[in-house]
Amino acid sequence: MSAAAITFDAVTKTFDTTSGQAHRAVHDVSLTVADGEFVCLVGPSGCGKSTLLALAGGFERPTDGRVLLGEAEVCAPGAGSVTVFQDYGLFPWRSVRENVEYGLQVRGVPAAVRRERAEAELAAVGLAAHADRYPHELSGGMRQRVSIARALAVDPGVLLMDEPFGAVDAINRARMQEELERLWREHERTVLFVTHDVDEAIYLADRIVLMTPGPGRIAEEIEISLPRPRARGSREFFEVRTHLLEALHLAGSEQPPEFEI
Amino acid sequence: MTRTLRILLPLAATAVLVTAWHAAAARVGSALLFPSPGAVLAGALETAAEGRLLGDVVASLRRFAIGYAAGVAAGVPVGLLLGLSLHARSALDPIIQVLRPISPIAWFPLFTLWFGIGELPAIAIVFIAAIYPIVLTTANAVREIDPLYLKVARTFGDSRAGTIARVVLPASLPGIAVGLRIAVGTSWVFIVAGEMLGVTSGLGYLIIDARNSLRTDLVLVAMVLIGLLGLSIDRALRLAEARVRRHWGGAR
Repeated sequence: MSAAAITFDAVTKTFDTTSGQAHRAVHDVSLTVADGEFVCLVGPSGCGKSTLLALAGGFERPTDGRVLLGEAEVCAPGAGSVTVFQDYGLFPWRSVRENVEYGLQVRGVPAAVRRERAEAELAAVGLAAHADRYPHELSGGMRQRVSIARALAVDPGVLLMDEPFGAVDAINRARMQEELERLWREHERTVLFVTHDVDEAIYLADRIVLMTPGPGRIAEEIEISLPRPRARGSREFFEVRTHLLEALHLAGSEQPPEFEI
Repeated sequence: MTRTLRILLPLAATAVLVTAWHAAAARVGSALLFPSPGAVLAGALETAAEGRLLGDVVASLRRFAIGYAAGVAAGVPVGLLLGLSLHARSALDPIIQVLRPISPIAWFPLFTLWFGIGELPAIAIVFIAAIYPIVLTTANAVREIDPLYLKVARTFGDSRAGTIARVVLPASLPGIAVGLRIAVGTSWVFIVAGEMLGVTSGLGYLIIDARNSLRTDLVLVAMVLIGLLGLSIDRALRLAEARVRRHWGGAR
């Protein structure tokens, strides 16, 4: 593959907890995501996968090490990447089209061009007919499509997705994964995708990065070379799945339970 | 409750009140001490025919609108500042909390010293009455913005000014609308007090002037009008507020 789109270089992130103790969310993680690659971060809660995404998105700064997008160190959000959030973050006072236009407006794109781009992106996610509706009139799956269209409208080099389908029901979820996979193949964007759904990761990823908690670090990296679009019922899919679940189980079993009674 | 009942019940209650008023006025038997509803209506028609009543209503509404608009123009930006900046809040909050309990009326002597006799003190009183609820509800609305909206603004690289205009202000508008409505109610109360000194028109002046000329019926005319106008203004703002909330997807 070509040059690195995202580089985590020996990154450690420590948070101060309310009890005054330092909590090490991510410990000495080095990871490179190639240009155009689709990488899924998978692991149990507390493994630091969302922290890594926040670091790449510029919402957090590493305590130690460096995070790069391309050649540039990430200092703040908004430079070279766009994050898609689990709860969509659509603006309720804007129509669907106006929501998609938001990022273009920030970049000073003229109104006519903005409208055209927004409508093209909405068509790409199958929501052209809903451009004049408002977010509260849409289902969860449709809202996340709008939020993805809004991100793609600004043509980000890197798309960061934080459990984007976590709040979508199971049936729509599979369809959303298929749409995202198709959009990704059409545009060859770099995607870093956080999920705790193993099937989702196998369906989408070129490479799955398995993380373990306490403190968060990379346990294993698994290349998924199955041809796309992937058949969820296939034997190979199932084999990868079994391997991942075993690895996850091992990763989990070293840890004390998350809560005790 | 059925629609008919919702209309009939307040009408019936009003009819009972007017009847009781009429009976009480007949018992007192003095138009000076306690004029009857009929006398008040006659007084209203008389002053309306002279063209004076409408003039007073317009004068009051105009002063109120100026004072209130100034309160909005000053209150919303100050509220935004307090909501956005922790520093501004800790610096200004104690000052606001000390000033707020001072009745707008208490400012009257200062206002007449500064602005002289005229309508400016009345306008300033309305301004003072309006600005606190607007500042406090705006600051509160800004603080309660869903942090996710701000994260979205950041991930798209919006500037600080752009974020305020495109995200903070619209996101807090439903909360601000509530403040604007509360402020209309509280500040309308004070237009009358503001007009009781220093001006020669308006409903507040009508009350003082009618008392001085022993026209108790006209005092009541002004009082009823103040109430009815206050109700109308409040209803108009409620409608506007409901529109904002509907447009913002308040059903969520």
